[in-house]
Amino acid sequence: MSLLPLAAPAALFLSALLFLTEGALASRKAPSLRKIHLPLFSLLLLLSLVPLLFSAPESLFHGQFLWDSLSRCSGLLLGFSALSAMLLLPGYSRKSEVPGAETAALLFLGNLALLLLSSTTHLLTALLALEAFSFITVLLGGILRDRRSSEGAMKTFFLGLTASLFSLFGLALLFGATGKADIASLVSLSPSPLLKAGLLLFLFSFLFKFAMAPLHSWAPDLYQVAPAPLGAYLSTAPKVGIALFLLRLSPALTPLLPFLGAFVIVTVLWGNLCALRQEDLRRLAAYSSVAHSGYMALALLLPSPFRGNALLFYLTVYVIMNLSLFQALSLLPEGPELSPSLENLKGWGKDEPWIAGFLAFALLSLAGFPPTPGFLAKAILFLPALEKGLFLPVGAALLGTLISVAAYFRLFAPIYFSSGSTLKGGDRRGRALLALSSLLLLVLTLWPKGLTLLIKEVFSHV
Amino acid sequence: MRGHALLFLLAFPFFAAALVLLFPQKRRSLTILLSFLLSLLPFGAALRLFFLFPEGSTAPFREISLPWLDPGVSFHLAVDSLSLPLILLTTLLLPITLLASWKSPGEGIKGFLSSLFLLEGALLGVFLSQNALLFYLFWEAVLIPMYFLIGKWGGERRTGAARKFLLYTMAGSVPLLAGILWSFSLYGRGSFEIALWTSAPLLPAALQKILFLLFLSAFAVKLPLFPFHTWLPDAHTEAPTAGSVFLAAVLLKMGVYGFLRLAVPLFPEAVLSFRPALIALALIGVVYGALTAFAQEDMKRLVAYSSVSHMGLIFLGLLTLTPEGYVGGLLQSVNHGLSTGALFLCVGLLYERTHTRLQREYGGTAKAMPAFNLLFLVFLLSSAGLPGLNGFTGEFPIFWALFLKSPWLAGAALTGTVVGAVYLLSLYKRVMTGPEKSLESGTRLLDLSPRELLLLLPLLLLVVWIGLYPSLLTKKMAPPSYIAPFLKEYRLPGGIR
Amino acid sequence: MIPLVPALVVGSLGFLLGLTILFVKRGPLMILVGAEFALNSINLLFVAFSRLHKSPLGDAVVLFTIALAAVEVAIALALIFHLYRRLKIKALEELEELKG
Repeated sequence: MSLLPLAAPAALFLSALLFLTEGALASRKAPSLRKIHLPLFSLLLLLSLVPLLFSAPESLFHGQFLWDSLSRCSGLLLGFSALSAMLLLPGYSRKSEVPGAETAALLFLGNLALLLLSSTTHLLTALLALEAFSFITVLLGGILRDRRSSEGAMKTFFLGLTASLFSLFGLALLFGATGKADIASLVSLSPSPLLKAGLLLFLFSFLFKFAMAPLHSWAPDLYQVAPAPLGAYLSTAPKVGIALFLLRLSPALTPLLPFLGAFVIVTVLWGNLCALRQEDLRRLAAYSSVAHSGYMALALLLPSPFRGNALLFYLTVYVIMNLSLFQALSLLPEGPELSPSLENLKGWGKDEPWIAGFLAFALLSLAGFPPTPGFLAKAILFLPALEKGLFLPVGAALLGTLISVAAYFRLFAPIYFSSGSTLKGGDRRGRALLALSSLLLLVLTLWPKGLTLLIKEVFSHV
Repeated sequence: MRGHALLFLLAFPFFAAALVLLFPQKRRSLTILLSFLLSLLPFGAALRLFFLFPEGSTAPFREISLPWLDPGVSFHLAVDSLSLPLILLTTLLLPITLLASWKSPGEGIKGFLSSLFLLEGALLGVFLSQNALLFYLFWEAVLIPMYFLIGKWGGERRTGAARKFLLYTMAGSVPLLAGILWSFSLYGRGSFEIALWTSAPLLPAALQKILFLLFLSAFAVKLPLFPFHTWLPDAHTEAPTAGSVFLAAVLLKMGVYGFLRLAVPLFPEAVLSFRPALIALALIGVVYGALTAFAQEDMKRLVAYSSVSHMGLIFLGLLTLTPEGYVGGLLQSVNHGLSTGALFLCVGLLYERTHTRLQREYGGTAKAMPAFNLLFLVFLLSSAGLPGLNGFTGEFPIFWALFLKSPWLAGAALTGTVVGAVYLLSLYKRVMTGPEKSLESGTRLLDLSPRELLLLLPLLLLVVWIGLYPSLLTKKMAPPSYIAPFLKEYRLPGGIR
Repeated sequence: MIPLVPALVVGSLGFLLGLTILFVKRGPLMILVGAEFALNSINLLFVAFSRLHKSPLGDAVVLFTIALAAVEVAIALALIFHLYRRLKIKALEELEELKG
């Protein structure tokens, strides 16, 4: 057992400690983001990625953790998401209320928890990692500490607590039925009713954090009150960690596929329907991310080689396009009682043609319009699903896609068809980041084969 | 490889769409002139293809196939006798509509021109694609520029109309996507190549029916078939002139093209079993469209409803599944594009002068605008199907095919044409003849400027040319090899043909 | 040595009771108490199953759960204090601004 694979989590943890110390030592009066935070954060994050990328695949702690290329993907996507959040903060309209050091520390801890979640093969470790992340969710979501963000954080906390109680109870049942709690032995056992019930209850917390309807109600509240840059993180990073863990768990989920299918159907329909009637942009984005969770969960119903390919492709594309969306939204001004609504987008097309263009591209991709990567991701997902005969979930997903087009296109009317801009100045860094995400989407549009090859490479080492 | 001509034809509009954005914003006329010149290039390329295309050929021409995506999605382009006339029509209309947009969209002219080029590119993509997923990709891509053309540069209720257009077409094309993906797995050849699907043994009848309905939902909305037509009057009326022209002339033909390219060759048994219902719906469309058009006060709405009626007739002709019906339907598709496009342009020219489209606001326009009068009359008569003009050459084979199938059917469809003649002539009477209304309001209507003549004359030329010599097109419109086996000749009892 | 079945019964009942408190009570503190109650009942189950399967895993879970509960209480109390002292909110029903 080499210690190299441990270097990445250790680096993440130490960085978090460093920032926490810095935050504790800094003066109480000005908690805001300081110049030093950003370069330090980026440097430390990149440093933590180095051992992650260059260590050989390995199994650690008696197989509790699998340090393979899937974990590496997870680390990269999580890093991109956290970096994007941190880079957006200086341009954020309420940056003076966001404590920079604590945010950085929480982002590091969040990445650590999710990295462990996506690398573990043991249900107990997974649950602990998820719980750790759910605390971080609450703290990041409520970091502004005004009335609304405290409300969002409180709701998320108590709902999450309930969900995790169910999961823990499920784990107890699983353990009682089998005496084991690692994925490999769950797969090898024949499913008893107790095992099934335990597994289903165990999944509760994961589906909750993954924002699958009807367990999604926290997501719109939290995304609405979280600062937009942190919303970008909270809507992408947990999906990465949880999706990849569910992918590892998926061989054991075979007896639960009908339940998962039902969750998928409800999620894609309900998420998109709710997105259709939102005026608040961040609630709209939240419901869109709920719906996308449904599509990703559909990938879990597929047979083996397709499952991973479709899920990883969708996940990567989702992270990029959703970050684009939130990067654009974080250019909008916010206040304690004000979160940006459709009205605030008026006149973007004329005054900010580039920003509007990038946002439009991300929206088209989210809506799954060909030839954007969002479409390819759906095609790669629906094709094997149809071959496997999953007509009901695919039908629901297609219907959901149709509804989502209506939902996303509601943004085009204010952007392009009316005038009057509320966007002033804005931050260069945020714009550059948005341009970068759009560029990535464009590359994926023109050369999707690159990503499929990469994914093939990933699974050849798992 | 000789297929590079097609690659140029497809890529150039997209290139031009980007290039237009670099033109100077301030110098509006120069920008439009330059894009007009750019738009002549694809037309020239299409014209060259048309002349090179062998007469009576039923095979794909100038094929080119580039690998693109796994699994089985290649960038496979070709022209055949089905797509050739539609490609010609699309590329011809772009320069004309660009000339027609000299004044109309007030602001953001570059975006407008760029959208038109994007629209042309996407439409050409639909007609050129030989790969089902590529076809779908362009099919959807048509939506976006059209959505912006209506929503940004349209009339007063443009946002609602754009939304309605988007939702109807999406509601049709999502099932199409499901159908294409499902067909991919059913044919089991690991490929989206249409040629591979058409050469495979037919699917079981029950599956054919389900898939046919999935495909049809997209084509029926575009066509539009009777209950799915309600987006059309709104979209046509609210769109700017250029948008209306493209909608009527080319976008509706996507439904015809898709039906012939995919539905007939892949699901012939399903087509046969659903044929009575489809014929009934198309017939309702013919009569209902004509009657509703009769009741319209807004000229653009009138032309829009006349489109519903004409498209119903075209679909009826295709549904006979006879060589006559096929040729008539395809020829009439082109004719309808030319004459309805011309009518929308004419209404647009009037609207630019008076800012109203209501018939009652006009009267005696013929005196003020004699040149316009002549052109407008010719286009109206062509749309009404007067012998000697192009409308007749398309309608006649359709009615012949319908008559051979069932005289009753032909009779019923004929009522649509009769009512059509009535409302078109009544439009002429109310707008062009009588006392001069414009004098009362104090504004003098100016006759056509050289630019406006230039944009209408090519259409006039074609309307007359095809009217007198339809073989110009029909000799290159032999049913392609994937449709020909499903066209059956009817004979009258007694051997008369 | 406590027999298995009563331990399971008590654990499950405790879990249900905790959940009931969680769903019925309105004050955030009482909800927290309910959650703790449910959590510790689950701990009882784990210990019982650990004996049944002669596996140390259940005992390990209990240790982790206790740590987890401590963090949970810390965060919950911080939130509740913040709501109560700064924003003068006592019952969760008063949180009603976010909807849709």
